[in-house]
Amino acid sequence: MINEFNVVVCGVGGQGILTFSRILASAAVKLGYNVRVGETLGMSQRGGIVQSFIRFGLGVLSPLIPVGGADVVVSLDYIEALRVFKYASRDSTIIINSNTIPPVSVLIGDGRMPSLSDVVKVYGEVTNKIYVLDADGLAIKAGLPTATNIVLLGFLCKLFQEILPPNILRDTVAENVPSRYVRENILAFDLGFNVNKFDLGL
Amino acid sequence: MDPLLSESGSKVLMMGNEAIARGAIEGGVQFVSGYPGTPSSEVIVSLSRVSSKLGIFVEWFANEKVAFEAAFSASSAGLRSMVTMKAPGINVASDALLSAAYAGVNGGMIILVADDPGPHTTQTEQDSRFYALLSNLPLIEPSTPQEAKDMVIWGFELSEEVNLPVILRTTTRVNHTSSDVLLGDLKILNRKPVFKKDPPRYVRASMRWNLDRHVWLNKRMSQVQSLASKYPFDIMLLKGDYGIITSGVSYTYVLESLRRLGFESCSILRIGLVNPISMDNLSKFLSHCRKVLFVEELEPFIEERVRALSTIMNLDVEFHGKFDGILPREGEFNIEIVENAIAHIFGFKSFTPSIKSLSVEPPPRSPVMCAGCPHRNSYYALLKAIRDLGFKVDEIPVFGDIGCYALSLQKPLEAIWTEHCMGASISMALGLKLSGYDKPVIATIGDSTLFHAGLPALVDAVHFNANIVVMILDNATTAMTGHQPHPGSSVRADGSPARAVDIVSVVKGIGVDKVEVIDPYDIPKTIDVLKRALLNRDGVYVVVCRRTCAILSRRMGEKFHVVKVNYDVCRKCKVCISTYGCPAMSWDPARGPVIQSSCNGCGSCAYVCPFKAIEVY
Repeated sequence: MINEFNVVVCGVGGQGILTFSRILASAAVKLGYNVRVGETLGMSQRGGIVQSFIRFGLGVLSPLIPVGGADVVVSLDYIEALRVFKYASRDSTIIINSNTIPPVSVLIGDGRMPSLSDVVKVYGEVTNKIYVLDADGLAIKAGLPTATNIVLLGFLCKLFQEILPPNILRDTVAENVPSRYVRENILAFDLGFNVNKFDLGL
Repeated sequence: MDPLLSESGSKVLMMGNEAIARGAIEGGVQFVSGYPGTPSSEVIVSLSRVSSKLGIFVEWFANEKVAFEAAFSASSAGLRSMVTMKAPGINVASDALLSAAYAGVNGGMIILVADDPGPHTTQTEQDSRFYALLSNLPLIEPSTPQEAKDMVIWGFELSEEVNLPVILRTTTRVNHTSSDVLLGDLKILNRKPVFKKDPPRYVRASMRWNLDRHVWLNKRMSQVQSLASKYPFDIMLLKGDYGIITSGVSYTYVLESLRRLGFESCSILRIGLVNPISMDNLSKFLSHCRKVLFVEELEPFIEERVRALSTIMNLDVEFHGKFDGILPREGEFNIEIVENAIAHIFGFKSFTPSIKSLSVEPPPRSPVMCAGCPHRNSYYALLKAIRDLGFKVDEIPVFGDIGCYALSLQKPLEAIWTEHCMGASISMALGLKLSGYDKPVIATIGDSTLFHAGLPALVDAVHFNANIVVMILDNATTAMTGHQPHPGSSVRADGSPARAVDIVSVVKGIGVDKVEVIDPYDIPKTIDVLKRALLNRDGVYVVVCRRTCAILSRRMGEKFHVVKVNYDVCRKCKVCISTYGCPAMSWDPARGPVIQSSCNGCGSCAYVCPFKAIEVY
């Protein structure tokens, strides 16, 4: 059992961030931990920013993760990783999906898009545990393009197997996705779990 | 199984609002009403999943005042009831709230009001605790989802013990935090409503009775004071003579900060019964401490009262908080803010690392109207109609209202001029016209908002024969808060059939004789009709822009068209993006617009393209 494990998940509305956090948090409850999930809802279906803070451990109290307190940052959209940078420290593991959805501000010429390597460089200044993977591609391979979240969950599980037993996480995925897509989601989880080829900090 | 029905003794993951819903069930609630509003909506959404199974009445009402009065009546008749709303909702219900305090209740009544420090999704950072003082009613506030559940149950008991409605005040960080929650027993009460005729209680027309009821209310509140120690609302940890008085989610930040700072000897008074503050607990705490820091979000509500009470108690304690600027009155707290304040006042070194500035800034990502959102078309057509008639867009005020369509504020449309409060689009358009504004004025209001607070203003507009255009953006749902039904819907909260109140009949019934219904997916026709409306010089002109919300139609599996860009024809003028701005369209500088998978196929962008380069199949 661990005292505290903090995961920041970020991305854009519609990417399944709340499902990601619900699965991870439900698994943590099954493991007997105190759990807090703090999230900002409200605009989640309108292409807005979604950030979720999942905390579990033996005595977790507040729903927010302190600055520099993330054990893991998972970003479903590489641009969004920049918005949660303050939660990373040299002990953090960073998992980034190699894709992004350009915000409307960029489409209409109001903002500039940083590149994936810009983002990796920013994080590279604090930690060397940066994993970039084509989770969108793996989700398509699993037959469910919307399962990017589950691919990343599988990869997170691979990196932290001692804390998150794969069988418990896999079962929790099955319990929390629509019944007609269980097969594809489990496949997405396994594809994420078995990833061997990823860009390590590019 | 639905977590709301999980067995007693089990620990399940629940959002704060689900925990409140479960607490209502464990507290024997029989009647639940409300109006949707973030962050309060999930209480009724989740209860409506199980309401028919449990035989509980759970329903959305036209607005918070109606919802409040309905629940108040149920509790007057002896049932346990709960009414839910976001912070501005209690403003709408406040008239009923103050009279309810004089009448009192027989069955327990919980008034859930969800404040939003931040604010994340609310027009103001209203601190609704002041309603407890204004109405002189008990107010309780939990720090965690677990407590939120438990406090609903205790709240019902307190409410019945003193015959007063109890306000349960929460903030976003409790409503929208999920946590492991230990469940208790379900309680099914089958009370039959009995409304006893008792004019002094229920008729506020007699001033003599009202004076008596004021005395009664004050007596009941003294009784709450004497019962305070019987209920476990407050948490007191007496250790050293340095102390913190806190409330709500801030309590969790305090505990975490103390742990991080290694300040184990700090005494804590976590106030859960915020009105009235327990004098027993307070005097015990203040006699123990010589230096106290207040940690509460928004206004110094507790601080001000405790500072006053300590003077009355003749206690000499050194206080810190908002009055000396140690903590801000604006925005929500977090561990850093709280830890720094504690470290500063009590002489510790804070562990909070300084935040490094980013060498690369992410571009802003504001929420936008969805791909295929009919509101985009309605505003696009409106702006086109205004320009086509030779007006300038900055001389024709477009009054907005509360709902997804407020997102028309964003580029590229930048359509609405105001978004004030529920229903204000029509009344503000009316006021400007009646002031003598000589150009057209337009009110734009959603269907749910119209039923909530728009109708009285429309009645006045008809009554004064005011020359305004009212666009009713009817997307068949309360979309912004997560697609709850409203009186115009053909379903109730639990999905069972309801009689839909027809907006056109209502509008005509009020006396509007110029009413047109258009489909905003038909942009040319929408422009034509809006031009006609803008040229109208006599009375109210209502245009109902009717098209189901794109999120709902997608969920229902509705298919429209396949949209393709013909790059041989496209001249890369970018008009599609710079004037219409659908998020399903991205821009490739080499090729032109690229249709994304989020496209719902409405095909409206084909109209927008001046070169007919967008093709619809």
